[in-house]
Amino acid sequence: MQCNTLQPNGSNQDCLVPLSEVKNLLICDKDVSFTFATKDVLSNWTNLIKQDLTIYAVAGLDSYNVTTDDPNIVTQPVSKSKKVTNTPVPSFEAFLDSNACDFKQMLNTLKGGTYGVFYELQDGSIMGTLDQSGTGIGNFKPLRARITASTKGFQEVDGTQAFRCYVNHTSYKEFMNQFYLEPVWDTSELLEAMPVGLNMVMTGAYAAGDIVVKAKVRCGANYTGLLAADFDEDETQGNVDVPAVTAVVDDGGGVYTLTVQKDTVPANLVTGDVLACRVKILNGSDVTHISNYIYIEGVT
Amino acid sequence: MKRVSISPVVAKLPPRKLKKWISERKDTSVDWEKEIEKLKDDSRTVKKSEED
Repeated sequence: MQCNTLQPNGSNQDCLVPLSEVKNLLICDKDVSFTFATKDVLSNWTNLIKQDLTIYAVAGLDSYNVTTDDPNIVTQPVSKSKKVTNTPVPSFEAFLDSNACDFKQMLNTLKGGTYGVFYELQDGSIMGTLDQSGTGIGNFKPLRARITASTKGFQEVDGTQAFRCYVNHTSYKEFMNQFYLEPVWDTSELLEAMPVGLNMVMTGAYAAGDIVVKAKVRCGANYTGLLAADFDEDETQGNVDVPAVTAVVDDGGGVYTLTVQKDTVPANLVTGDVLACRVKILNGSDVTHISNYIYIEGVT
Repeated sequence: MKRVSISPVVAKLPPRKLKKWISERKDTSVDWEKEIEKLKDDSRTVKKSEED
């Protein structure tokens, strides 16, 4: 392996920019990728937020700790000189600026799976990695990490660190290819593109085709006016064919009686059936509101 | 007042299956037949305006 020529300050010493602190993290699907030419265009980012739903969150960051291990340093027995023997992969403990409802959703979602993360830095740049091998050369991608949300249950007295998220990166190589995108747009544009989060809970068991749910804006007001077309069923998370919300009765105050069925000729769920659905309100191709999934079990 | 929304899948059911579907609905405060008729009228209106 040949080492690169070292240019610690570059030839232009007027242009030394200190590494900024992290301001925010954008958690996304691990396969998100922008070509070199399209990475600067705001609409390419906002479309992933409000149409593809592959950039999930612009998580507010209250504080954080870098938890990357120090490298092992071994003193060689004969020469007595020291040698670094490993390269710890970076990791990060984030304390999120969140509300309880949003964080509950994170607890239910971020369970140690592999995601992508872009870091927004204090200077407005977005840090990711620039692929330099294979078929994706030149693509700007998030850094891959295993992410786990965690709670200690309660806020410490005078504390602000109850909402925790552990970000453990999986590739040192991605850091060697780190890339700083300096967009002309402000990253607050990404926050504005995010769908409104709704909280949906079931208030009783499924019976004779119906289940009663309550919908609220997360930690906010009751959400009224939902229609049958606003419910989105996910066939992959359940075990029934042609899952559908065939009727919705808006009982007022955010309470809805949903008729939830299966099959081409709609039939009630039976014992053993599971159907996953959520609220997903569309305005054209844009998702304006989205809720958590509820998992409805057939009971006969 | 209750507001009712029905999936177009239901309105497209053949008459006997539609009747069965309506008979299985628990909420008797809703006039299901009327709501489905409204849905059919709406879809006819949409179709007609598309044709125009």
